[in-house]
Parts: sequence; structure tokens; C-alpha cells
Amino acid sequence: MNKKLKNREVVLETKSLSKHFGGIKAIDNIDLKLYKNEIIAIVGDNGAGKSTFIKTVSGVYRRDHGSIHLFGKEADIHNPSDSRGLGIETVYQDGGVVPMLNASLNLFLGREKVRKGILGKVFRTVDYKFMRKEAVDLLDKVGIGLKDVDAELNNLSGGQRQSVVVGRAVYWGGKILIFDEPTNNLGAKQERIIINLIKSIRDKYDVSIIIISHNIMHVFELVDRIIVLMNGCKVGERIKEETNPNEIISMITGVNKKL
Amino acid sequence: MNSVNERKDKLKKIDFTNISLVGVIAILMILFSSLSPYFFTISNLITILLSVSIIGICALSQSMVVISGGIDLSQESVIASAGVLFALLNSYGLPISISIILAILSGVFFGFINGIVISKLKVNPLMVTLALMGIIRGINGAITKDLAVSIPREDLLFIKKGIVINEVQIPLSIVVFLAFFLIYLFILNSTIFGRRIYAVGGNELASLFAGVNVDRIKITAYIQSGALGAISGILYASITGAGYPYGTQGYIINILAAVFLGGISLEGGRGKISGTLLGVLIIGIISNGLRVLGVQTYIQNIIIGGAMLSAVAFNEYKLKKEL
Repeated sequence: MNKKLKNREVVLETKSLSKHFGGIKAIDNIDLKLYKNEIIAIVGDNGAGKSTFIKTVSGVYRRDHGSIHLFGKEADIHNPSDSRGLGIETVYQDGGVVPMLNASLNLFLGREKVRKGILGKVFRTVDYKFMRKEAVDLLDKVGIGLKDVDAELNNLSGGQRQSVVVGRAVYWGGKILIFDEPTNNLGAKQERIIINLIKSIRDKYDVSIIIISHNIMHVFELVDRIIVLMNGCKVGERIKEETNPNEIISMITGVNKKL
Repeated sequence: MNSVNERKDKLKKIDFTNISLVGVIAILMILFSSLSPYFFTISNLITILLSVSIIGICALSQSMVVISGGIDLSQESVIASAGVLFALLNSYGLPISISIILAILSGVFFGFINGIVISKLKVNPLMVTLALMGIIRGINGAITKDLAVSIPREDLLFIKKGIVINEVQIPLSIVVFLAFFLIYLFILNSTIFGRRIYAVGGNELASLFAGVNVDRIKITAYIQSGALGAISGILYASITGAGYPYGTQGYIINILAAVFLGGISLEGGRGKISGTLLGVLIIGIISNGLRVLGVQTYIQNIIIGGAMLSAVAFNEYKLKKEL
């Protein structure tokens, strides 16, 4: 049992959160609580609304109904920058890294470090040395072993690429980390890298984590609590110790309607 | 064992593209010098630089657009339209500086149209800039009634004089081209804006999610290709002495040839502006060398096309090999 759970502060809460596209309700009245230092998983079949939920919370989509509350205060999130400003760092399934750039440039994507002095202030020149050093330090701290820090991410394995994006979420001081299918499209060895990375982050940083995954084994290995979505609605919620993979799977597929 | 691997890794890091281009230039220089005594003279070298300045200014700005993931086919029409506008306004009696500023603004305007339609309406850059290429060409013909608009020699004195160093007169076009090269070298390699051009071209979605204002980057890219196209158009009109509505048809081929020869990837996110300079020089040297030797123009076209094809094929092969 995660000792940190004794502290029951709610860091993220959604109330009746809804988002529709045209006539389709992608997510419908989702009530969700994330407690401090907790890791939760949001699971569900394709089209269940997991990605939409995450993108609505992180600001890629604008919510149609309901509210989002961060650290007790209601938040108005219009775009990804808003959510980042409030402490949410999201690692998306599609669109994490720029493959032609190296680790440090990807780490600082959108938040490049400006050099001090006139050159920096007037021309906004970039401080490559600083960014590289920060990247090396971060990779060291969380235990990501990149054989070549300056290499294009194209030339690294999928697991290492994904590690950089995960590391990025932590580096920018995210208090709430959201990982959308972090082990998708990775081979078994690469998946291990990411899972160990997430465990290392949970141990070393003061963060709360939401993971979307359709890999039930990984879910049971990593999380404290599991939330099941189906057709845009929340159909179940279980503490890991009080359930098992079969029950979760049947909730996902809707075979057993017992709530 | 370890030091051998370390040396191998260091070798891989060296970018051979620029080195091979410099090698090609050296070979071409040696080849043409040996075939003709008129090739390696100061006046001919200046002629080469002059001939590449117009294409070169466009190639620099086109490189920025291609690196950002787009392409601007309308640039050749913008060259003509700026030249025509400059000539017309001048013929109406407007001061030279005003005519120049307004002509540049027309390039900015067309670039803005390209940028807005491509980013906000999400239309494919190839289609948008191709359409604008035709539209602007039509506008050029309309406002000149298909006739060239001449510019009196007195009005062009300042441009023809250029800058004098050690009693050698360096035409303004060359100065402008080299100045822009240094500016673009700085922007693309050292500034945040430059970094984001590469990022957007490399993975637009990742950049968007990371908080980069992708639309603004794209619009700026097309505005600068319009602006520099206009500047080169003004210089072109000054050199030829008139605004020709249809004088630049086919220029986009040489502009893109220089860009791709220099190692800029069509997919975006990759390539060095120094490569573009080398690509421009190669094309200039080939054209000039063949002309000095009296070779027909159609052969020049075949050779330049062939050079671009081999350069692109080689670059792509090198890329795919590593994957």
C-alpha cells in the first residue's frame, strides 16, 4: 500500500465534465478525483473517452460542460499552456517528440532557454550549453541511459524516445503528470524502461499521476486506483487491492453490469 | 577497442553534406578553369555572384519555409510582381524609397495570404502557393497590360553603384545576398524562432502540444519568403532595367534546386542554411561555366536538374540507411 496515500488532499477533481463533437458525446458527466501522490489508471475500450478526457483536462479540447478543479480551486483551461501553468504536464500518445532533434532540444521544446545578456534579450538567442547540461542532469537523476545525449531521437530506441518525453513532464515541475498510453507501440524491453521510469518518478518526486492504458498487467503493476470508462461514461472505480484483472476487464467490456 | 568505437562515433557526427558540397565546388572550379581562361577572373567571379544573388536571396527564404514543413511556389511570381510594382510606382513619380517600400509590402501581403490560408484553413501549401503563383502572375499581366515597364537609368544609379572595396565595385545585389545569408545563419542557428521553425517542420503536433504557436511560425515563414522574394524582385528589375510581368517564369525550379542541393529536406525539420549557400554557388558555377564554354542553355537545364536529382537521391539514401 502506498504510504503517501495517508495524505488525502485532492489535487485534481472534475465534476460532470463533458465534451461532445457534433452529436457524439465523447465524455459525459465524468466525476473524478485524484489524490496527492496517488497513481490512478483510466482504462476502457477504444472510443471509451479516455483520450478525450485527458485532452479536455490538459486544454487541447475546451470542455462543453462541467468543471475542473486544481488544488481546490476551479480552473479555466483554454489551451495546453493554461494547464501547464497550473502544474499539469501531459505526455500524449501521438505527438511527443520531434525526431530530428536531440534530447535537450526536445526537453526544452516550446520553452527554450534564452541566453543571458543583450544577445538573449534582443535577439532571443538560445543557450545550448545550459539546455544540454540540464538534459544530462535530468536523465541521470531519473535513470534514463541514453547512449548518446546529442543524438537525434530518430536514432534511439522507442523506449528511450518515450523516456525523454516522460522526463520532460517531470523536469518542468509538473505536479500532476498525465501519461496517455505511455507504453504503446513499444517492444517488451522498451515497455520495461518506461514502467521503471514511472516507478522511479513516483519514488523521487512529489507528484500525482494519471495513466491511460489498455494494458491491464501494467496497470496492476503501477497504480493505486483504477477508473473504468465506457462509451464516454464512468462505469466503475476500484482500489487496486480490492479488485483483480478479470473484474476490470469485464467492466471494460460491459459483460458484468454489477457496479 | 573503446577508442576505435569512440572515433567511429565522432566520425558519424561530422556532417559530410557541406564538406561534399565544398568538394564539388572545388572540382567544378578546377574543371572550368582548366577548360577556359576566362573562368577564373575577378570579373567573372563577380558575375557568378551577381547571377546567383537573385536566386540566392529567394533560396534563403525558401529554405526557411521548407524547413518549417512547407513550400512556397508563388515566390517566382512575387519576384516579378515586386519588380513590376517598383517600376510602375517609379514611373508615376513616387520617390524611389517609397516605391521600394511599397513593393516589399506587396510581397509581405502575398506571403500573409499564403500563411493564413495554409495555417488557419489548413490547406496544403503546395496547392495554396501554386494557386497564388498563377493568380499573382495574372495580376502582374493585368496591371502592366502584358508590357514591360522600364525604369529610367538615372533612378537606378544607387543600386548599380553598389559598394566599393579596394576599388573593386561590388554590386548591391551581392551585398544584400551575403548580408541576408549572415542574418539567416544567425536566425536559424541561434534564435528561439529558428529553433521553432525546425521543431514545427520536424513534428508539428509535438510542437503544438508543447505550446509552440504553430500558426504564427508558419505565417511568419510565408511572410518572409514573400518579403525576400519582393526584395530580390526589386534588385532584378534594377539589374534588367525594367519590370517584366512574365520575366521570372521557371525561376522557382532553380530556387528549389539550390535549396534541395544544399541538403534541405522536403519533409521539413532538417537541413542547414550554409548548405543552401553552397547549393546556390554550385548552380551559379555550373550555369556560368557552361555559358563561358558556349554550351547551349538546354544542356545547362539538364545538368542542373541532374545535379539536383543526384544530390537529393544521395541525401535521402543516407537518411534511410541510418533508420
